[in-house]
Amino acid sequence: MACCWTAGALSLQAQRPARQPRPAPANLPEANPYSSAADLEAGRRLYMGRCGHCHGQTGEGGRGSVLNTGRFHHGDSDRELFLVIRNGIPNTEMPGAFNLSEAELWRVVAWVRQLSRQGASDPITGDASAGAIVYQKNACSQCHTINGQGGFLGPDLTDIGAKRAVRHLRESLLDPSADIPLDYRPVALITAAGKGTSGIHLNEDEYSIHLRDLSGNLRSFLKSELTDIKLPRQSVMPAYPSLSKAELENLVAYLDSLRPNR
Amino acid sequence: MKWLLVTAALTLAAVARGQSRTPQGLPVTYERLLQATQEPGNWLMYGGDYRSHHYSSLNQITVDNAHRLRARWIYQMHRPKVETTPIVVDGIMYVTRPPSDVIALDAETGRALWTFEYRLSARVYTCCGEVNRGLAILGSTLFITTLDARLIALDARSGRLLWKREMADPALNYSATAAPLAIKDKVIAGIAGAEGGIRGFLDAYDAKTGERAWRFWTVPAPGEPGSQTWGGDSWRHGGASTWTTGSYDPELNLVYWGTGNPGPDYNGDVRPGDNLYSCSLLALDPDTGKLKWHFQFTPHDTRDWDATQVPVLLDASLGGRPRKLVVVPSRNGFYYVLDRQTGEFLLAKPFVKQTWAKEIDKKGRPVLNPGQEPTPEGNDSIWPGVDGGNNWMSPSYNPNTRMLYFNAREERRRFFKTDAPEFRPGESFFGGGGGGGARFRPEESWGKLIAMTPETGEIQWEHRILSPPWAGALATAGNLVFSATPSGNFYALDARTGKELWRFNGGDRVFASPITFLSRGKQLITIPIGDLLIAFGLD
Repeated sequence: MACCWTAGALSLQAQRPARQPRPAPANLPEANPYSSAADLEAGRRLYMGRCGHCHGQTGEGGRGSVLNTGRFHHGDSDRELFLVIRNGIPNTEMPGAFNLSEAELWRVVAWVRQLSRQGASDPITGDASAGAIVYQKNACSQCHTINGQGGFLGPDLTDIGAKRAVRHLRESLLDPSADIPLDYRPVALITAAGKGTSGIHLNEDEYSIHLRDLSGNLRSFLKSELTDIKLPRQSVMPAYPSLSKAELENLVAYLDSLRPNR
Repeated sequence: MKWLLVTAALTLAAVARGQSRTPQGLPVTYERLLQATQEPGNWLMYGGDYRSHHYSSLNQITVDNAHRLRARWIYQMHRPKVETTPIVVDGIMYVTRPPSDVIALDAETGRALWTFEYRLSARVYTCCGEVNRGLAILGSTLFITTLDARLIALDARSGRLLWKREMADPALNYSATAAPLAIKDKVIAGIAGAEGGIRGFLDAYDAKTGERAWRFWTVPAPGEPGSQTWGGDSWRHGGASTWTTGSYDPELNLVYWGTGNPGPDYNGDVRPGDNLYSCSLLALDPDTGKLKWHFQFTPHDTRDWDATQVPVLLDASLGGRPRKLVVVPSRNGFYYVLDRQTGEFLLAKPFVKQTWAKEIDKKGRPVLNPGQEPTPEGNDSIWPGVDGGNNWMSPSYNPNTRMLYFNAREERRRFFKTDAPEFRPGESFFGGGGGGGARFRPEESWGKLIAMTPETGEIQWEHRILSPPWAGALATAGNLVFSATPSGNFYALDARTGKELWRFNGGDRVFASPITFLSRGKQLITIPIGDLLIAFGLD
């Protein structure tokens, strides 16, 4: 019998437990064993045909979640990514790719990693320890956090080397408005009294908008009390064109060295 | 004597408020379904009545007192993406929850009376979540399609299974999500799975025995009419699913049902031709399944613009001549008016920004703009987006204001195509994609509720909302329109002006349509918000 029913007692109508994901295959490695250039290309083709419909051609998201930030809410190790792709996510729209072979699944994992890195890695030419000094000298920690130390206006950089390609790190320093992370979009408001407020956009619906101002205060506004709402295309992070080429490359090398200790 | 007088007074009050009948409970006969509008205290089918007006003549909740609406009860679904439209029969609400469960609730308290919990027979490929949109009732039997492509019949009194029939093999990527439609002694049921490379169909089953009465293949086989619109063997995985409930005209004895996209979705190179009957509205004889006429909104679609919108049947004068109309705000961004007797194209007007068609010609065929196809590198110049200007959510027609109300989606999206996919059980059959949500500016992704004169397509007013909606609309004789936003705000507008009168923050996205009914003589309104089914009434 493929179905059942319960009657009467209200206690019997409790929720069904979420479906259990399939167990991991025996000896499933922690790290992706398929990461050659050929594997990446195969993974790209698999991703485009099966995943890009929801997650976007470059992992920018759409029906599915954003995949190019390096943050994965259901586990971000290679092994965890493999299992999420294979099993899907219960009670969400994410289906399991249960018909892909193990090798195909690993190749998709490789391509998803590549999306997170936003491009292939350039060679590192700078010196990371010298870059740490550039980081301190330019007071980057006023806005960014590394290992729990620093400010909150910009993204946490603790694992940034694992999440972003060198090219993207360099671009973020020279032109931070080119690609503003979703969680750090700036917003500028003007109240009915004519007072301006700006900060990082946190939440919004038809009637209200919420931000973290530049002092770190969490602020809420009813739209009926505002005369203007702007979502500037300019990042709150300043560009650093004044860095010498050596300073820039050293800082990029330092950021690239920031990786999780596993 | 005193009791009799009180009863008489209550009855008169009920008549004045729109409850003009004595509760009958079960069975819900076909005759009652034909006269569904005469039972405004109930909600007897997916679209409210056979014309899919999704309208109620209840008038206890009005423009003047809507501000007094309060939450009365909550039923916790504990499931994501609840898209269901319940049925209400004299104080009992029958509601589905994902993937394919049915619950009978006391409509007054929201307490469960019985629960039918369906266990899927197989792992099922789905494109868009394990959803279900509702059920049908005929006699004392409830009908639901299941995610694993079964049609099942339940005893409405107990929730016991009466019969179960396989519509198609879920191992071949078939699934089912639409509420069936009961007509005479049959149950019409649609199929889903075009994103998995199915060949679509619409079925009718004997309501008593579950035997299949007919099948209309929405993708013709070689030699059948329309087969010349498919190249090679592409028809085998041609899609054209039937995943939203249709409408019915008893006088013409025609059932109207929309069909989905062709497969593969975004790479049309392997299926040259118009790809009939994908992205079409079908008019079928419900007794035999014979096609009376069809109208294709988007020939050779490559942007996933299913025509699975709810077709609304209404009569109006057009050019000084009374016409029986069927109207559809299409996913492709144009609003269409057709003669529902003949399928004659009468009118098309864009209701959202659209870039793909120069115009719709006199025969109803789009005149295409260049550069509006998915490309290998990605084409982000196309409006509307992959989810369309409209989608499956119910529109609502108020015969008093003579306006059609529906939610519209203003979106630009990136469309890309890949190599044509090979069909593989358990896998998608996209041939590309239409994602790109995060990269677009707020002004390129927003929504609105539209009030439209249906026979002309003239927009009377719009109610702007922050992001593209997935909720249906409900118009009532209280001169109200109810709908909801993706941010979880359920709201009521003045149906004549669009002025907002009331709102409630439900705190999660809404993928469903509100309905209204009477419970113990009092008008209630329900809508699923997130995984909660919430009932509202006057304080």
